[in-house]
This record gives sequence, structure tokens and C-alpha cells, in this order.
Amino acid sequence: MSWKLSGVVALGVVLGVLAGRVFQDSDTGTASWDALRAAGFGAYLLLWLSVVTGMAVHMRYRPGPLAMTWLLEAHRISSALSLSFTAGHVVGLLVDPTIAFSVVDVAVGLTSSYRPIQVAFGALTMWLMVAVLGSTAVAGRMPYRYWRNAHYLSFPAYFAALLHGLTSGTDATSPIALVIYASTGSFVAAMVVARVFGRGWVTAGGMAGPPV
Amino acid sequence: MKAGIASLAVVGFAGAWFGFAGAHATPVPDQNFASPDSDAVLIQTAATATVAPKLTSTPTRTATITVAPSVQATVAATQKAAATQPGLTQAPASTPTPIPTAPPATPTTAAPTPTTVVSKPDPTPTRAAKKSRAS
Repeated sequence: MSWKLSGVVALGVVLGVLAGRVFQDSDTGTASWDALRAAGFGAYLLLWLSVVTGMAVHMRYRPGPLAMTWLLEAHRISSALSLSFTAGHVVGLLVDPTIAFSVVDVAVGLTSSYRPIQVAFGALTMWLMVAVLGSTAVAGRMPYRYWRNAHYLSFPAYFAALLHGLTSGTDATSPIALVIYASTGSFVAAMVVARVFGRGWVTAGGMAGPPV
Repeated sequence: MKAGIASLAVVGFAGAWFGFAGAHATPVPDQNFASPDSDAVLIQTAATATVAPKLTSTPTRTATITVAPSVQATVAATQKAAATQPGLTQAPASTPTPIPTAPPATPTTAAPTPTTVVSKPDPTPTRAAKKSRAS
């Protein structure tokens, strides 16, 4: 269900970006650039939601009777949708005339003439997300320990996405974007601290039991 | 629940897209950028264009430039060194440049004085004369 839904969303986002590119003024139009910026923001926020809900599931956070099921479903769909919006972001970078990215530039990052290191953070995020979701797709045919270790790649994926958003693109210095990055980044940092050092801090109503 | 999150994500994507398209507060990086920091250059250009109309009015403030003592000492030393070198000294501005006067128009037509050469006999007889006289 998650894969079908995320596939439909990915197709819609990609078509939206392509439509923006086709119908915009070839010289001064910014429709496709605006679309890929929106897709990038969407991918980041969905990745953040995936990380947060995944950690909440891992820490057995139980605010209500349906919380665990809800969190697990939210974790799955948000991670898949994050990759969908990443696809729209990447396709937008390839077709947008503002900066003529090549496939190698987008896939590797270090070869681009526009902020190569910052773009490389985005490429690293994409490949780490592919690795995490790919390992989840074949989790039934691989040892649990391998899947678990591969799943830890979601942390560097998130922080690479955060660095990519903070250091590259038009919105790197936008106040609203900075507020979003600061709030989401500090939220994840607080959960990491709670995850590493706070085992047993909350035993009733909140976090309870040993980690999964 | 999955459809709800997906719908929220799509609506957020569309809202952000149209928000970016409507705002245009931040410029898009130029296609012909020369450096990776072209965004900053374009933002600076946009800011300059915004401020430019205010600069058309007559300025009412005078800027004061403070020169560091080390720079002042260097300038003074350079001027002193230039003054001590004759080739580098500059003529005072008050000294008028002398205008060359034309020579008098009367030509000098003095005729050369003729010199008359009077040949005198050599008082000293030559050896041949002495010899012939003796013979």
C-alpha cells in the first residue's frame, strides 16, 4: 500500500515539476525552480517525520491505545513519500534551466559547478534513503541484524539533508526556512539524546519498556 | 491514515510551490553564474536596486575617513623622500616660466677688415746665402 501510494505521489510530483518547466517562460520563468524547491522542502519534512516516528516506535512511545499502530504507519508512509518528493526534486534539477545540472552532478554532487559540496550532501541523502528503503523492501530475505544496521543509515541521511538544506539553494538564508530547520533539527537532536541517555526516564504514560 | 498523510504532503507541496511563485522575494540563481556564490551576488544586486532610489536625493552627511597613524607615517616619509630628491621636486607654481625673447632684428653687416700682409725680408741670411757671399 505504501509503495503504490508513494509511487502515485511521486508520479504526480514529477509531472507537476515537468508541467512547470513546459509552461514557464524559457528565459525568465521560475515555475520549475519553485516546484523543485517545494519538493525539496516536502522531502525534508517527510524524512524528518519518518525519523521522528521511527524513533518513537523504537522507544515504544504510547500516548494512546492506537499510538503504536499510528506511529508505525506514519513512519512507513512518510519514508516512502520522502523518496517520492526526492524524485520530484531530482527531476526538477535535471530539467530546470536555471542551473544546468547533469545526471552525474545530481547523482554524485561533487562534479557540479554550483556549490559542489553542498549539492553532494543532497546526493548522499538520496542514496542513503535508497539504501534504507531498499533494505526494508527486502527485509524478509535478509538477517534482522543487517536490516537493523542498514536502518541506522537514516540518521546520517537526515543530517545530510539538514546540511543540504542549510547550505544550498535559494532558501538557505530564508528566515522561515531557518526556523523550520532549527525546530526540526533540535527536535531530532532531543530525541537522539533521549534515545541514547534516557532509557527508563519515562515509564508511565510516555516512553516505557526497553527499546525494540 | 496513509492517504491523509499523503494528501497533506501533496497539499503542502502545492501550497509551497504557489507560495514561492507568488513571493519571489528571493531571486533564483542566475543561469550564467560565475561563482558558486552567485546567489549572494544576486541578492546583493536586488538589495542595491531596492535602495537605489533613495540615493538620488542630495546627501546631507559628510563621511569622515580616518587614516591609521601607520599610514600617515608612511605617507609623510614618502613625501619627505620625494622632496629631498632633486629630480622629483616640483617647481613652485608661482614661478613664471620665462618666455624666450627674440634677438634684435638689426643684422650685423660689419664687413670684414682687410688684412694686408707685408712680407719682410728675412734678416737672417740663409746658409746658402752665406755660402755664396763667402765665395
